[in-house]
Amino acid sequence: MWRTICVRLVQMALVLWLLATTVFVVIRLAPGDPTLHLALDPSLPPAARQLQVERMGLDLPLWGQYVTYLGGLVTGDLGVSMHEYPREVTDIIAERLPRTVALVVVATVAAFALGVVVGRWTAWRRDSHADRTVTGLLVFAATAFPPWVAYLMIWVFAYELGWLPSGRFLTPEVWRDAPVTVSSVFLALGATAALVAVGAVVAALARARELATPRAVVVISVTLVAGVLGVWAMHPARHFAADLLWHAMLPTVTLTLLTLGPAALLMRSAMVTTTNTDTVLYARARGLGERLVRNRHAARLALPPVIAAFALNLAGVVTGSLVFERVFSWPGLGTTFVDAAVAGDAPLASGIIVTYGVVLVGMHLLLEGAQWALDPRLRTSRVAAS
Amino acid sequence: MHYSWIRRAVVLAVASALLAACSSSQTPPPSGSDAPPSEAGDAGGDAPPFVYEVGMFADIAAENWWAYLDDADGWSGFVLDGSACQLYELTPPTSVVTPQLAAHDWPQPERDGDVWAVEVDLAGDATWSDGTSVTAADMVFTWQTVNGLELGGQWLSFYEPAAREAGLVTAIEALDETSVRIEFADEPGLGTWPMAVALAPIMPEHHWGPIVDGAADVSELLTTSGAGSPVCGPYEFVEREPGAFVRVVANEDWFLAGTSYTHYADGTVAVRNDARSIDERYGASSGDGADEVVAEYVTGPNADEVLYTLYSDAAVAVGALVDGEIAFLLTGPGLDPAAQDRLFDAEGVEVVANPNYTLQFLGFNLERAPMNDLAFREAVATVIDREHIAQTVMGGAALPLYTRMPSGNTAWFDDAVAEDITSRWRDFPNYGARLERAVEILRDAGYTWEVEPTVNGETGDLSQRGAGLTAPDGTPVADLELLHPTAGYDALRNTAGLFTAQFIGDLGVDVAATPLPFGELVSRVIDPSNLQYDMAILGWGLGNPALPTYYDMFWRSDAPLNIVGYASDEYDDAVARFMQTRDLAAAYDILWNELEPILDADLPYVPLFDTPVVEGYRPEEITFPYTEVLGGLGNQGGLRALVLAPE
Repeated sequence: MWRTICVRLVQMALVLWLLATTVFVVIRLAPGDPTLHLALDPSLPPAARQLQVERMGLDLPLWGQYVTYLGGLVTGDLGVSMHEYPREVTDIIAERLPRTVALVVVATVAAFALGVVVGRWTAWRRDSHADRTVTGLLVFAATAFPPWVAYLMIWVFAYELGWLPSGRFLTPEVWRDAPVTVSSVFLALGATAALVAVGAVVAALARARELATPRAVVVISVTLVAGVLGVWAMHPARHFAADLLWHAMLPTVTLTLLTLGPAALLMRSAMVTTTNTDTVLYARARGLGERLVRNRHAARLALPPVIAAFALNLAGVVTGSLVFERVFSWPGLGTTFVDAAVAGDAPLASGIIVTYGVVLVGMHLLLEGAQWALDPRLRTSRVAAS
Repeated sequence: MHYSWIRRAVVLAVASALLAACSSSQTPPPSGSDAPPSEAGDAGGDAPPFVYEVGMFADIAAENWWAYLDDADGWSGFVLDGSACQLYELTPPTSVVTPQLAAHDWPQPERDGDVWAVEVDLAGDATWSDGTSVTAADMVFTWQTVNGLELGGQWLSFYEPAAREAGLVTAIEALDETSVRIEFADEPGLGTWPMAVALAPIMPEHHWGPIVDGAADVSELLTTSGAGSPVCGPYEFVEREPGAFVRVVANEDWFLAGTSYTHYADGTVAVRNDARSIDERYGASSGDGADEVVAEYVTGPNADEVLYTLYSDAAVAVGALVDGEIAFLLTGPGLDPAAQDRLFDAEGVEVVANPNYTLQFLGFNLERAPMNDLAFREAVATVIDREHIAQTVMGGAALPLYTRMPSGNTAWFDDAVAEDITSRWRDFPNYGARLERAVEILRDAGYTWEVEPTVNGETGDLSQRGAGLTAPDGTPVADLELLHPTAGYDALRNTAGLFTAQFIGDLGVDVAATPLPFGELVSRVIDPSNLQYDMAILGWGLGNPALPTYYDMFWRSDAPLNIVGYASDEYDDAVARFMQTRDLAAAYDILWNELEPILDADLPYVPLFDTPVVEGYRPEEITFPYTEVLGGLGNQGGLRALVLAPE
């Protein structure tokens, strides 16, 4: 087992090195110069540009810049932003990442939770009118061009109906002289969501293992939600949290709808393959109700590929936020990357890509670990192979 | 039974949450138009403050003056400009130099031993927003910090314009609390004094001194937030949420508050402030229009605060202005035609268009043939129909330009000389006449064709494109490349590139119009020692409108921004005198009697067009004392020290 872990870690390091090197080469060799604005200002002497070139280390040969860059990566130093000179890239990423994660995690969890329900429902009514209608809508959601859907949602809900805000991620008038920071409220909201999620999982497990009656599960769940809502309702930062949630609603719903299509279709196709398995046949032979057979037995067999897709989607949507955030004026990592790329801010752009890489590779590693832990066949085959 | 239990529990939970939400209201309610509906009912209380709501579509990169000027970021400038004070200022809209901290009009430098020096008395009544006096020591501190920490960017243009000036600031010392002495290595021209060091912002030593002393390196100073720093301008930066908004609040103790400025057409400004016993008229009078008022206002600050809201792009920001979310939009690099149309069509939005201070041009690489031949350049300048490009092709979105000084800079523009220059290139009855004149220029210079361009004599249109142009020495003119920006970056210059290539192609030269990403385009053009192009369409922002030093930066033989390889002893001599004179009238004469005529004869550039700045504001929210200003209202930071609430 340790050998496998070591091999995976070495592979991970190699992938990240390859990514970092590719990013460095592509960005540094791309035309453009982050000090160009200094050269184009007729009121500035040439010394102004030269000074900035030296400060940013752009006067070093390319290999020298590469060594500095790699050395920084090893120590977790992604360098200094050129556009927001001399602010640390890690500082900027730490500021923007929670905003992206908040949007992506909520939307992905919601989409997959809904997707599992919708997918198993349609699979159980395979080839019915309801199945065809819902599956058609899901296919549309899965294949629609995301920015188009985003603009459509903005047009309908923000401009035509005026129900939801767009164009900015908070209301400045609300946040004027705020005693809390945006990041702290995001973190508090994230912690709340995590608490509720953990509660839901515990309740589900307790119910599945028959450690609690249905009534007890409902009471505990409702009490937990009510408690959380109550705490937030009395919290001095509730206006700020409400404002963030209000602004996050349209992008979150849109991203949820876009993610729901593939999730539900995957669940549906996985469920379809399980309906004729021996397990389901045996469950039916035992005289169990259709609902129980569907939710307890068929759905459980269909879940592993959906869980794998969920994990990868969680990482993938972070990268997909590049365009999405821009459309919704959501100043997360995606928007920051686009701005950095346009401004020729090589350290910030490459720092964000490397961060994306670390998230993706990390999620792959976690997924593999989870599969290893959950599926005894994998452990057996690996041990035999080694 | 089972489900009724659940229903009861859910109702109880929701009710308890709602009860808790309604029972406490410790936080001020939001007033924004898109605030959550549940919060809207909390509004009430005192009369609302006058908040000037401004939109922008790029975040600021600097939170203090040191960082802003160190990297010359324009968006930071919108927010931070006006919070500092200086000895003198360029007073909008005519950009006349008037005293700010100084007690009197700018004195002339005098020789003092080996150096040139100027001594300036401060009025002495200026204070920082925390009540501390602004002293000569603050100016010395600022100068020493810039030098000691080797700050760059715009700071260098204030203190060390050695590359473009005879003068060099060598020392700034405080003679006492209210007088300062500035030394120059050589006799300073107008570009050094007063147009550079006299306009340098001054920082409060009592606030920044300990920070500078404790800073391990320059980065520490540059990343320190300017929130809380005392200011001596009308507004104080107090708060920023990255990616969302920036807020500045009024400095109620601004020493220039309540000062009235009256700008006259002759180029002078009357300044009056009874509380400070000031009643003076500044600027050199041209003699015409001494009684004709161009603009008149009394300084605020009238808005209690200015709230800059950040939008992700121009289209969203324009939507916010149209919807009434903001009162004014800073347009930065400008709005595309679709966004401009949206402003024109919007109800409740007043649109103003002002001349810009830019020069869009066709540049020749004079190190390559045939661009190094004056006859070729003259033929090209003749055949390009600038009226057609600007008025017909661009639909009036640009103004044709024939001089290197845009007409929008009324203080420096000479109508008579400019008309002489313009008529040379503009006044042709039709395109055929223009083409025939260009062909004649080339033929007289010895050029020949395989197929000579011909014109339909009746319609005046092109009848036959030329082909196979051959230089006077018998060498066929090689295919040429015309670089220009992509349509995505700048649709107007992209269009100009396509049409210019077509016009030159009519002369019998194969010209490939090549659109390039802006960074790549500039990197091929910008280095005077390595010019990698034939012809290029680019644009310059022209800097300080009060003194057009760009004539020195762009066309002096060894100038760092001479990107065409132009070299003329006659021009170098004239521009040196232009930069060294200490008399604005003399500089003006040199510009129009020597610099412009020389450049118009030698044609290193063909000026193409200037683009007006189109902006919008909501009159029911704000009013401006004037709206006609070079570069637009945004170029003046949205006139935040002058903006008024509607009556």
